[in-house]
Amino acid sequence: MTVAASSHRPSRTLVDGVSRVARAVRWYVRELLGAAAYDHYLERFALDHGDDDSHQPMTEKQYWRQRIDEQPLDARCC
Amino acid sequence: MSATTAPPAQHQPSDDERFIIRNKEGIPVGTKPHTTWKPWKIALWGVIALLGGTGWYILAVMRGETVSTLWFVVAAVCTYVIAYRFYALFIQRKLMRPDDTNATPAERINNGRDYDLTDRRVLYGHHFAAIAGAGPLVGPVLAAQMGYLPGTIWIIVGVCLAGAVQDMLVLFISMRRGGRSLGQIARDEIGPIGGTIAIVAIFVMLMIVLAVLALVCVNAMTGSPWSVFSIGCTIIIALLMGVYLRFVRPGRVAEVSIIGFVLLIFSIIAGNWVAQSPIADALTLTGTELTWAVMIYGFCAAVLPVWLLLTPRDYLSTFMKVGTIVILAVGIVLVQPLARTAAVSEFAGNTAGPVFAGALFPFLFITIACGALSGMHATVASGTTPKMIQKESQTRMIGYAGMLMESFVAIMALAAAVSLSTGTYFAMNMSTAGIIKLDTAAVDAGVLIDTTETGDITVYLPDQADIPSSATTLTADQVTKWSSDIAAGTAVGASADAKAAANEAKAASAAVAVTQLGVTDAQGDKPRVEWDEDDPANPGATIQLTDEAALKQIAEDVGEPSIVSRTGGAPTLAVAMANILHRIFGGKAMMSFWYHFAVMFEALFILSAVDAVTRVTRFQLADAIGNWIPKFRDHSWRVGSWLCTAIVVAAWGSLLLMGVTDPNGGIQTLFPLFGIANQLIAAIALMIVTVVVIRKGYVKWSWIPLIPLAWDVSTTFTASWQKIFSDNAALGYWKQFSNARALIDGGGLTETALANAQATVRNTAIQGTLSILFLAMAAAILVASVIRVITALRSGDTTTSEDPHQESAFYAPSTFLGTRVEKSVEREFEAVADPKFLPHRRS
Repeated sequence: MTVAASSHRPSRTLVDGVSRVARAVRWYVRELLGAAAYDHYLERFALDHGDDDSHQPMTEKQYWRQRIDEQPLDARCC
Repeated sequence: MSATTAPPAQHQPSDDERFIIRNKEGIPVGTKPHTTWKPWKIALWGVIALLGGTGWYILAVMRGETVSTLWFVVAAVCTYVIAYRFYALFIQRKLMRPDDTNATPAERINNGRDYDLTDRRVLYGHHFAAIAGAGPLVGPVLAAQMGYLPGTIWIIVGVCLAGAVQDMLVLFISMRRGGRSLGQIARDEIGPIGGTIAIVAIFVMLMIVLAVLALVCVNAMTGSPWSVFSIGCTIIIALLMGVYLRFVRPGRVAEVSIIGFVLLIFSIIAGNWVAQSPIADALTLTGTELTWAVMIYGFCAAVLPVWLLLTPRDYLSTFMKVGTIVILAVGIVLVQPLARTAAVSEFAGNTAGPVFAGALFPFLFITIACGALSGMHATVASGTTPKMIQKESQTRMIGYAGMLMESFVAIMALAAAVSLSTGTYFAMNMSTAGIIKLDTAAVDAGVLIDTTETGDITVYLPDQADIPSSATTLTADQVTKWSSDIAAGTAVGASADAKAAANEAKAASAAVAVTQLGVTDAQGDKPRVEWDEDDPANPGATIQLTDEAALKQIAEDVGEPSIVSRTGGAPTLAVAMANILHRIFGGKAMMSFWYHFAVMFEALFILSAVDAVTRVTRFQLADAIGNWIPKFRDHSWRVGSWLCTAIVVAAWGSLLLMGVTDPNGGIQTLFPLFGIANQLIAAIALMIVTVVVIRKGYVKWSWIPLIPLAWDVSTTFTASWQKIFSDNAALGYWKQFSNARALIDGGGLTETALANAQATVRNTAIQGTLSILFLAMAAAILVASVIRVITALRSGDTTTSEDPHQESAFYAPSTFLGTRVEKSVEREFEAVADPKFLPHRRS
C-alpha cells in the first residue's frame, strides 16, 4: 500500500511518518485477526510447488473453509 | 555458538559482531545480551523506582486523606516494569537459559497451520487475548469487600512473583517439548499415575470454573430485559458473521469484525427501546429460566460447526477486549476517581463479609484468582502459544509480560469498584436473604426510618444527631412485608405490579441493611448508599442522593429495574465503569449505554469461555471413554459427540442450577470453590514446573517456582480445609449441612423455610464433596511430585523429556521494540534466510 505523498511538500516527513504508522497498524490488526492468512498461504504454496503446474492453490473460499474447519480450538480462559 | 566453523558473512560492524550468535552456516540465529548501563538509563530506572515507591507510599502508608485511584495504576505499572526488567530477566538467565541456536517447534514443523512462526508482537496479542477474560474483572471486585489495599498488594506482588512466573515457565517448558499439553508433560515428568490424576483433576475443576463464570453471567441478566436482549443479540450477530465469512466474503476478517462491532453497539442502543416496550416483560427472566437458556446455548454452541458461532464470536471478543481495556485505562487516568472504601476493611479480619465468606488469609488469594495467579493460563501456555513462538528468548516477553497485562486489567477493575460508595457496593453484592437478615438486626438496633415526599426511605441510626421528628422506628412487620414483596415479585410468572413492588422493597430494605454491616468506609463512617446526581435547578452542579432514593436513581441512570443484590461482580463493575466513563463520554444520558456496554463484554467473555471449554472438554471426554468403547474416538460420530457434549453441559449446568437456586445467593457460597479450583490448577502447574526444574539439575534455583507453589498450596489447602472442617457456619460446608438438617429434623418450618433448608442440604453436600475431592486430588499429585523429586535427587538422574537440540536457521528479535543491533541483524537475516521462514513479515 503506497500513500501518495507529494514529494515537494515541506510536510513530507510528517506524511511519511503517518503513513508508516498507518501501515504498521493495518499490518498488526490483519495479523492478529488472521486476515492475512490466505496471502501467507499463497506465498507458502508458491515456495512449495513453485514450478509444479499440476498443483493449483486453493481458492480463497476453499482455503478459509478448510482453515476454519481444521483450526484447533483454544481453551479460552477466565 | 560463534562463527568458527564457517566464515561468517561479515555484514555487521565488527563491534556488533561479537553480540551475534550464528549457526554452522553462518546464518544469524540470535543475539547475546548487548545493552549497557548508561547514565541516562540509570536515571530513568531511578525515576521509575521513585515513582513506584511514591505510589506504594500513598496507597499503603499515607493515611487521613482519600486516595486517587490513579495511584493504583502508577504503583502497578512501575512495579511491573521493574519486575519484568530485573526479576523475569534473572529467571531467564538462571532457570530457563534460552538457547537461540535451538529451533522452536514452530521453526521445526512450520506447517503454516498450528505450528506457525508468528511475529512476537502478534503472538503477544494472541496470547493475551487467549488468557484474558472475565476472571480478572470479577475477582478483584468481590475482593473489594476487604478494602482496596489487600487486593492491590496481592494483584501486583502476586503477578510478579507467582502468576507471570508460572505462565512464563509453563510456556518455556511446553515449547521445549514440541508444544505438549500440561497433562502430557505431567505424565512424562511425574509419571503415569500422577499425570492421570492431573488430567482428571483439571477436567473436574474446569466444570466448576465454568459453572461459576456462567453464574456471574446469569446474575447480570436476571430481571434485566435490556441485558437479555443485547446479550442475546451477540449470539445472532455471531451467527450472521459466521454465514458472511463462510458464504459471502470468505477471509474478510477485519471487515466482518467491524460490521459485527457496529451491530453490537446498535444492539446495546436498541436494548433500551426493547426495555421500554411491551416485549420487556417477556424478556424479564428469572435465574432458573436463564440457566436453562445458557445450558441450551452451551450445548448448541459445542455441537454446531465452529465456523458458525465460535470463530466469529472470537473475533468480536478480541475487538471488545482491546477496546474495553483502552477505554477503562483512559477513564481512570482522566477522571481519577477517589477510592471510597477503607484501605483495609473490617471484613479482612473476620468471616462476616456478605460478598464471600472467609478472612483475608486464605480467602483473598482464592477470590482474586485471575489477575495474580491463574491456573487456567497454564492450559493456554501449554496449548497454542508454544507452537507459534519464533525464538526461545521471546518467552519472557510473551509469557511474563502477557500476564502483566492481565494483572493490569485486574488493577483497573479494582480501582473502578472501590470508587463506588461503600454502601452502594454492598447493596449490590449482598443476597436478598442477607439483606433481610440485616434488616431484622436493624429492628433490634432501633433504627429509624423517615419517608420523604417522593416516598423514599431515609435511614437514621438511633445515636444520630439530626433525627427529624417525623422519623419512626423500623418495625418487624415492615421487614416481613419487604421480604414477602421481594419473594412475590421474583417468583416465576409474577405480574408487572408485583415486580415493581419487589424492586421498591429491595431498594428500601438494602438502604437499611447496609447501615448494619460491621464495616466502615474511607472516612471511618458507617456505610451509606450515596450517589451524585445532576442538580436540575443548577446545571453543572451535582446533588448527593442517599439511601433508597440513591439506589433507585442508580437503577434509573443505568437503565435497570433494580441494582440491589446483583451479585457476581459484573453489574458492580458495570455501574462503576458507567459512573467513570459518563464523565468523559456523553454525560448522564450515556450512562445506561456504558453500563450495558460493560455487562455485554463481560457476558461475551464468559460465553466464549463457556462454549470453547465445553467443546474442548467434550473431545477429551470422548477420548477418555474411547479407551473402553473405541467408537467414541471417532469425533465425527454424531451420537457420541452429542452424548459427550450433553454430559459436559450437565456437569457444569447442574452446578450452575445449584448456584442460581441457592438460598444464600450462589456467589457467596460457590465463588470460593471456583477460586480454589483455579488456584489448585495453578498448584498442579507449579508442581510440574518444580519437578521439571529439579530433574533438569537446577536444584539451586528451584526456589523460583517453589515460592509461588508453597504460597499457593498453603492458601488453597487452608481454604479447602476450612470449607470442609470449619464449625463456623459462614465457612464450613458440612457445618451448614448439619445445621440445615437439624432445622428440618426439628420440624415446624414454613413452606419457604423448609424448601430453603432442603436446598441448603443438597447444595452443601455437593460443595462439600467437591472440596474433599479437589483437596484429595491435589494432595495426591503433590505426593507423586515429591516422590519424583526425591528419586531424581537420589539417583542424580537429570534426563529430561525435552526434545533433542536441533540447529536453528531462523532469526527474530527478542525485545518488543527491537534494539539497534537486533534490527540490523534482522535485515541481514532477511537477505540470507530460507524463504519459507519469511511469510508474516512486516513489509
